[in-house]
Amino acid sequence: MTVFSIRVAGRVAAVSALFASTRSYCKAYLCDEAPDFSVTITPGDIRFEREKSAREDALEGIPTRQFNDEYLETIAVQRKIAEALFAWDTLLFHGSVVAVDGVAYLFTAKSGTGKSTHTRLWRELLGSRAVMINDDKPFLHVGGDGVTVFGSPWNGKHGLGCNASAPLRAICILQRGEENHIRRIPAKDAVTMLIQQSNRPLDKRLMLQYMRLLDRLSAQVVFYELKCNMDPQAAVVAYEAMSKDGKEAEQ
Amino acid sequence: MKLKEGFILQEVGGQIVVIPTADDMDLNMMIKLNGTGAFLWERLEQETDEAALVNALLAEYDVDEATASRCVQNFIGKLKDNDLLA
Repeated sequence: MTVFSIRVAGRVAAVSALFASTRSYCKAYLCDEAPDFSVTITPGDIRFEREKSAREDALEGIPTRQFNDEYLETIAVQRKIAEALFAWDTLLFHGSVVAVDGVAYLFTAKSGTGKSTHTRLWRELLGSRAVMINDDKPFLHVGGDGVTVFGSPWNGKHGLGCNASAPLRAICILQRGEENHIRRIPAKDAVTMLIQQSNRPLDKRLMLQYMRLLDRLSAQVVFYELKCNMDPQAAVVAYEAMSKDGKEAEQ
Repeated sequence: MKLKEGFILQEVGGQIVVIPTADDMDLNMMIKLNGTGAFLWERLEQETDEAALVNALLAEYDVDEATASRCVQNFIGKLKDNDLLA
């Protein structure tokens, strides 16, 4: 048993894990403050994650991927922390987040579409003005006055991201295209994506709270749909549109 | 007739959506409803019948009976096709 505390999305979680590797996985987030909540991982949680992953692979129609217990424990911790953070109007989202001059932009799409490639193009375009917040599973805190995106230990296979936060200006649905083209879309056209790419609570009693949180989120960021290729020009097209018209341009 | 248990209806970003909460359902499933659909959906959360739904539509919307009746039949047909009635 390994016990440690981490601060994620502004809250402190006391974690009781089965493997020491989980502590090192979370090393950039370790802290020794009083916890807001605690999570404990049991062998049953590992089993749950293995079965859930196998079910999802079956739904996708791909062969069942095999994961070791250490990896599955990091996912179990993620799920339990995300579940607890609903109490603080915070949800876990799937996407690649880059902040430019302190303002964050989130790109979401099915795995393998090219989110990470696209945010890499932003870093190449903007140099040190662009900071990777997270490349896979950032937390979004939906406040009364704007959304804040936080880094998390779950930052994708290249480990891109940092323990930082920034105000989130926009969420962009990324699709592959021959040409680079971006357009603003109304929140109602982003609903399917919001539900598919956010982490749903396991506890049914949290479901209504989760849906209301998505509704509030949708009112506080702007949405885009980007069709793009992998040329540097893709970042130019996206950045120019997304940095120019902020919320103000909506009216 | 009545809807199955285990769904939640909520407006997100101006779009009314229904998602399942029950364990035995495909959690990736999502239903988008327009205003009339949501109106009928909410009435079907309690036991009701076709005539009551048509009357409810006539009371709420400015439609004639033939249109309301067609609308209810369409909606119930879609619910049946997707196995959403109890």
